[in-house]
Parts: sequence; C-alpha cells; structure tokens
Amino acid sequence: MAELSFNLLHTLDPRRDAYGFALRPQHTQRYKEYAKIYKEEEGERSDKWKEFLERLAISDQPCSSDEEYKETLQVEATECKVETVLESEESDESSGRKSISDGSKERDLEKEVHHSKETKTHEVQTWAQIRPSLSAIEIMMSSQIRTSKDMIDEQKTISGDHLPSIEEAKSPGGASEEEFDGDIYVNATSDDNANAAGTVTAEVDKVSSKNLFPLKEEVEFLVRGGVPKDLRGEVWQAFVGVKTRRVERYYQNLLAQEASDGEHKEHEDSSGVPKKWKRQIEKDIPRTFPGHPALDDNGRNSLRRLLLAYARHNPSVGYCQAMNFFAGLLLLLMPEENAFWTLVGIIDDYFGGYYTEEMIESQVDQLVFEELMRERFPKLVNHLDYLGVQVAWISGPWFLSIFVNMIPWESGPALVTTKDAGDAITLLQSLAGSTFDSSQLVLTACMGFLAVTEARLQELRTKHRPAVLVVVEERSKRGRVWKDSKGLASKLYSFKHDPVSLIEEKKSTEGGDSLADEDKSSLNGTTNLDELLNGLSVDSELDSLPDLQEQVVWLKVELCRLLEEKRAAVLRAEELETALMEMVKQDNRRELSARVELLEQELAELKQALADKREQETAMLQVLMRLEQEQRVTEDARISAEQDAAAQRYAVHVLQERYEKALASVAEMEKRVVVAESMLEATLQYESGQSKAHASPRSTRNQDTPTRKTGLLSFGLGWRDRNKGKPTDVKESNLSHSTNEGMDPSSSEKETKNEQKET
Amino acid sequence: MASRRRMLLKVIILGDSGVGKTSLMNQYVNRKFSNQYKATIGADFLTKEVQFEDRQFTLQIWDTAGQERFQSLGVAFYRGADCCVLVYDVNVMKSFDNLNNWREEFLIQASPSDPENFPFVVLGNKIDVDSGNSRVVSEKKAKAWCASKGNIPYFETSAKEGFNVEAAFQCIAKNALKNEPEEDIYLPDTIDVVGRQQQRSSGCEC
Repeated sequence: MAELSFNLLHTLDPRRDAYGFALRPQHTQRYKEYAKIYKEEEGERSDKWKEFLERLAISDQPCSSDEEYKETLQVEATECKVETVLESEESDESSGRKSISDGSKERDLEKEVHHSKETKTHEVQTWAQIRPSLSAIEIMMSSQIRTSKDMIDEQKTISGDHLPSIEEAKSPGGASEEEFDGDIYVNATSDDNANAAGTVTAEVDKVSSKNLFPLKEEVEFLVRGGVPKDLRGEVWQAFVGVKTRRVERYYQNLLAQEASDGEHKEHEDSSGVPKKWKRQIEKDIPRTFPGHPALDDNGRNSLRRLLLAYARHNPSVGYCQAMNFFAGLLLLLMPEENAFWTLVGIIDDYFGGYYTEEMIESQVDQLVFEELMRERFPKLVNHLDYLGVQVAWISGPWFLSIFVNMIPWESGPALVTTKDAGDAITLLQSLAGSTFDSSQLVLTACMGFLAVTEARLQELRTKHRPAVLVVVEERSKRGRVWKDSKGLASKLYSFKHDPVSLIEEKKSTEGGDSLADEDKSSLNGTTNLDELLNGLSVDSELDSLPDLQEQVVWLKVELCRLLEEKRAAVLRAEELETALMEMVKQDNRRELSARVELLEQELAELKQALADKREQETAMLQVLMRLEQEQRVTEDARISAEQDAAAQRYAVHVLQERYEKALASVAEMEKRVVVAESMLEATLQYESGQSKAHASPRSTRNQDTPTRKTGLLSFGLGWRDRNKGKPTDVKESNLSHSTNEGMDPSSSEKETKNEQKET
Repeated sequence: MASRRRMLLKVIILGDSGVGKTSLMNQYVNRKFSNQYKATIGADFLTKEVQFEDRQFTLQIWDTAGQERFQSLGVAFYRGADCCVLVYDVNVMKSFDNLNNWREEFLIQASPSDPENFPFVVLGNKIDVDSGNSRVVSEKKAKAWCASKGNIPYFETSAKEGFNVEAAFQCIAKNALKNEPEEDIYLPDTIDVVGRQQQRSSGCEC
C-alpha cells in the first residue's frame, strides 16, 4: 500500500537523490561526481551501525527486548483471538458514542491491548515494529520520556475530552499495569508513585548503569557520523521512544473522529479541527516536496491524515506551516502511525512551543542561536550585522522546518565576501537549497558549537524568553490599540520615536481615557520610574473597577521591558561605536576613490594617446597608399620602357641582319670586282700584246674587234680611273650604281666569253 | 559617488497563504511558472535589476509566509520597505477580506514615517483559473476598496500566464521610488572621517 511505497525507494532517476528529492539542475553534475563518495560513506556508516547493533543484540540478550520480542511472538497466536474482539469493541469506541460502564474492564482491555501490541505489527500496516536490537537506545531514551510522559498524559486528559475511554484508562492505569506486566519498557509509567513502579525503575536503572553510559558515548559518536539511510527511520523512532509513547488505537480514533466530523460538519465545530487549519493543510499538501514520487495520491492522503490527526491531538499547536515538510519526511522513512508518534514526540517534546500561535519558543531559539553565533562565529555575524541582515531571517526557516528543507551543503567562505544584504541572503538560501552532503555541515556545526551544552541552551533560553514575551505582548497590545481606535493608532506613529510618550500612549489605552492621561504624564517627571509611578497612580485612579493586580503585573512587565530596552540601548550604542570604529578602519573608501580618480585620469590619458596613435596610423596609412600608387606608376613606366627597349632591340636586330646581308653582298661584289680586275688586267696585257704585234697579218683581221672593245674598255677604264683614289669606297659606289652593275657584269661576261672565244 | 552606488528598493509581498505570492515573484523575476512551489516558511526573497528613468535600481522583493502565525515571527524585515504589495486570490473571498488586516498589520509593524501615504499596490491574482468562472471578487469591488484606502493602484494578474505581472511590478517599482527619493546616499560618515584624518595628518606635519 501507500506505506510500502514510502519505504525508501531507491530511484534510478538520475535527477533525484537517494531519497527521491529532485536535484536542482545546476547541482546534478556535482551530485553525480559525489554520488560514489556518498555511497562509500553510506556503506561505511551502515557497516559501523551493523556492527554496533550486533554487539548490542548480543550483550542485551539476557535482559532486553529481543527476548521480549520472542515472547510476544509466542503470545501472538494466543492473543489473536482476543485482539479481534478488541478491535470490534474499539471500533465502537472510535465512533465516540460508547459509554464506559465498567472502568476496570476497560482497564483490563487496555492492558491486554498493550500486551499484544507487538503482535499488531503483522496485521496493521500503518504500524511497524522497530528492530529489537535498537531497543537499547529506546530504553535509554524512554527513561527520559518517562518524566515528560506525565506531562503529556496530563495534557491529554485536559485537552483530549474527545478521547475519554483511552485517556481515562491510561493515566490511572499506568501503575497497575506495570505491576502486572513487569514491563521493561516502562511503558507509560506515570510514576509519581515510584513505589509502585519501583521494581521497574530499578531495572531500568540497572540497565542504564550497566551499559547505557558507555553506550551513550558510542551512540553519540555514531549519530554524528550519520545514520545510514535504511536505518534512519527506525533510529529516529527509537530516539523518540515511539513504542513507549504509542497509545493503541489513539491514532485511529483521531482519524475516525475526523471522518465523523466530516460527516456532520456543523455539529462539532468547536472540538474538531478548526476550519482554518484544514484549509491551510489542504493548501500545503501539494506544496510539500512537490514532484516527489512518493507523494502521489496515497502519499498525500497519508500526509493529510497525519497532519489532521496531529492538529486534533494538540490543539494548542494545530497546524503550522513547516510541519508539513517534517511530517512528509517522516512519512518517507516510516509507516503512517509510526510517523504520527514520532511527530508527536518530536514536536511535543523537542519543539514544544515552537509551532503554537505565538511561536514564542522558536523566537527564543532564534535569539539564542544568534547569540551563539555571535559567540562562535563573530566574524560572520559582524558581517551580517554590517549588511543589516538578521540571522533569524535566514535561520528561522531552517529551525522551523527542522532542517528538513534547508540542509546546506556548500560551506560558506564565500559568504564573507558578499557585498550587500541581498546577496548575502540569497547566498545563504542557495546554500540551503539542495539536500545532500550535509555531513560536512554537521561536522562544522559540531566543532563550532562543541561547547554548547543542553544546560547552556536552557540558560540562554530562559535569558531570552522574557524579551520575546514582552515583544509578543507588546505586539498584541499594539494590535489591539490599532483595532480599538484608529485615531489613537495614528497618534502612535507620531510618538513612535519617543519611547516615553509611547509608553504613555499605551498606558492611556489601558486606562481607557487617553487625553487626560497623556497630559498628566507629559507634565510629570522624566525618569522611567517616575513615569511608572505616575502611570500607576493614574491607573489606580482611573481604573478602580478592574483588577489592580493585573495592572501591577503589567507595570512590572513594563519596567522589565524598559530595563531591557535600556540595556539594549546601551548594547546598541556599544555596537554602534564598534561599528563606527570598524567603518573608520574600513573607510579607506576615500583613498580608494582618489585612486579610482587617478586611474581614471590615467585611463583618459591613455585613451588620448591611443587616439593620437590612431591618427598617426591613419596618416601613415595614407602615406603608404600614396607610395604604393607611385610605385605602381613607376612600375608601369618601367614596363613600358622595357617594351620600348625590346622593340628597339628588335629593330637593331633587323638592321643588323640587313647589314650582314649587305656585307655579304659587298663581299660578293668585291670578289666579282677582283675577278673583273683580274680579267681587266688580263685584257690589258693582251691588248698591250696586240699592239706590239701590230704588224702581223692577223692584225688587220683583228682590227674590228679592238675598236669595239676600246669603246667598251674606255668606259670601264674610265670608271676605274675615276675610282682609283679611293678603293674602300667600293661598296658605296656599288650601291649607288647598282643599275650599272647589273649591266656591267653582263657586259663583262660577254667580254670574257668573247675573250674565251677569241682564245 | 552617489550615482555609482546602486539604489535598493525594498518591496514586501503580503497576502493570505496560497494566493500566489511566490509565483508572482518568480514570474516577475525569472519569468517562469511552476506548479511545484514549496510552501514558503518564514520569508524568502529575490532581487531584480530594473531600469527606470535612466537609472539602475535593485528591486529587492521579499516574499512572506502567508499563515497568520508567522506574522509574530518575522516582521523585522518589514521595516525599511519602500512599497508593500498586497495580493489576494480573486477566487477566494476570504483572501480579499483579509487585505485590510494585512495592510494594517504592515503599517503597525513597519511603522513608516507617513502611514497615510505609504505606497501600496494591490494585485488580484489567479484570474486565469477556470477562465474566470470561479471568480468571486469583482474588479469593481476590489477597485472600490483600493479607492477607499487612498487610491491604491490595482492590477489583475495571472502569475501562471504571466499576465499583467510586468506592468504591475513596473508600477510597484515606480511607487517605491516615489516613496524613497534619496535615502541611500549616506556620506556624512565618510566626510567626517576624512576631515579628522586630514586634521590629524596636518598636525603631524607641523
């Protein structure tokens, strides 16, 4: 059923931790990193505990509840029948209508119920047995509960008229029960009559003297090291002494009444859970560990039943926000009824007055906590003071939800560096956010608060309580003032900075006649005492009708308050002085600002320089650009010049070629000239030869030819003569007389032919 | 110097349990809505930087626990508030009726210097529920109440849909600013100290 689903589900969901609480996304990574370490630590813890418990089990064998446990198991079979009868009867009771005619019978029944309690374990799923080996702890704790139990019983008889049968049976029946049972649990011993229960207490004492004191140290050590997850629920129950507290059927009756209330609502408005609590519970149920897998419909129903039952069980508390978280956590760790009794134990005993309408104790504890903080971590508190943060703003929610919601896991050296109140609180709250690795914190806290003992706490509590009470009283009075007369209230504001007149104002409302009172008192002396005396006289004058005693009490309180105020003022003055000193110390602010200015100046200079540099850079850039352009132009010029050069070279080349050709032709011509010259010489020789032999017969016949030849020769010779002075100029003349040349060779050729023919 | 120090505006959100104070604050600061808020214990708070008339402000929003008995516990932080936001659920008459109590409670505890003119802003939340069919407090009624208390600005919002939330907080910031023109400039200490130091130093030099 629902309860089963509660029992520590080991979720595989990576976004939830081992308890099923959602991890915040920013911490998932870290959690993954640490998961292995947690597991190891958890393993170590459970080993230690296991060993411890085993040891306990052995040593306790002869005298403790293991035996008892076995016995009850045997009894179980026999008692089963009785029990069914009982149950039917009790269900009658639970309708609240059964008249108790026979008290003794009732008592007997009660006893039997008590006796067969263990057997119920196996039948009622809302109730589970803690393992017997833990009973040693339980015994140890129940010796403490014994005393408180009386108180509870009284309380129950006073407040619990709606549960007549059980209550009545229980409180007077305690002693006789023990006599019969010899029960080692010291169950519900209202042992004012120590004689009757003497044997039992003796036994308990024996047990405790024997092994509880060494045990205690060990248990303390173990608890500080952390309780392994699987054991936690049971260990808690053991510590609270659930079994001792438990009253059979009480829880069921509460629930049944609730149900019957639901049926006829208008009927029992006074005794039932007031509407406002119900409404608040309904609102808060979905807001308890939202999204937690165990808080499905079943889980929520359990939570609702649990809270309603508690509200009914303790009407002075009823329901207070923050209980929902705690109850929810208990439900995660144990079955419903166990959770109820644990809740009862914790809230009634450990946190009495915490959740009542005025929440006085929690305020007291806040002050105590603050003072302790001041003592142990003065630096932190000073810092918070400096920021205007009250420790209570942060720690209040932690205390109220009994550190369920708010287990910090990062330690906070970072805190000291925060700058303003906002940052500090946010940081502290964020510290409080995630639900794992609290062990380090616990360690720090233990180290820090090592010297803080229960006694000291009590002392401090008593020290601070009056202040809170006064504040609360004042508050309610102010509220009343406000509600009674708006005019007065507004006057209150104008006087609020003047405590004396404020007191007067209050007094006046007490007295009922404001103006006269005020005038008189303002005329009167200045010291507090005078004021008070005056107030007293005025009050006694005016207030002759109601209780003078109340007035005196009130005045006493007022005096107390004033003294307190004075002390507070002195303290505050001191505080302010130290703060001032600190500020003086810390106020190198001016220096800093001067430095800042200096730096700013430097910065400006640097900026100027930078700007200059930039300008220069642009100028340089421009120059560079220009240079580049010029370079490009020259390059162009160079290229064109090169091209020109190439063209010229080509022209030169062409000319050279032509020149070579011309040279070649000149050479040829020269050769020809040489040939022609040699031919001419030959011809000349021949001619001279002819002229010698003129007389010869042949000479007549040859006469024609020479004539023709001379003509030709004269031409050639004339040309030769003309050129005889400058033979190097042959080329030129050759060129210029190319036409002649063309003719010449042909003629000379003809000549040679002719000459050859002739020869 | 003064301008360099960022200015803090403190805003307190009050109202019955479950009217959506935490949701409104989260919607405004983180622009997120979740169905899964935990019940607020004591007080919670968030900050947001806002720009207004060319100046940078830090809006410090205090979210409070709605249950009545918590009032006896944590009211010290009411002091120094610059604006008080009263929230009610338009679907729950009681939460509207309680506005008066909340207002008076605040004025008593915070003791502002001018209670008559202290800036409040009223928000009627959850107008999205059942598309307005389950509504029991009419806008007219709410406005009439606001008018009777010195023309308190009134906004109808839905933290779930984010409707009107931004506008409402703009108004809140504006009013908070009006209330606190220049409280945060505190330099006399510094000046004093400097003066003393200078005197001292000059004495040494002589």
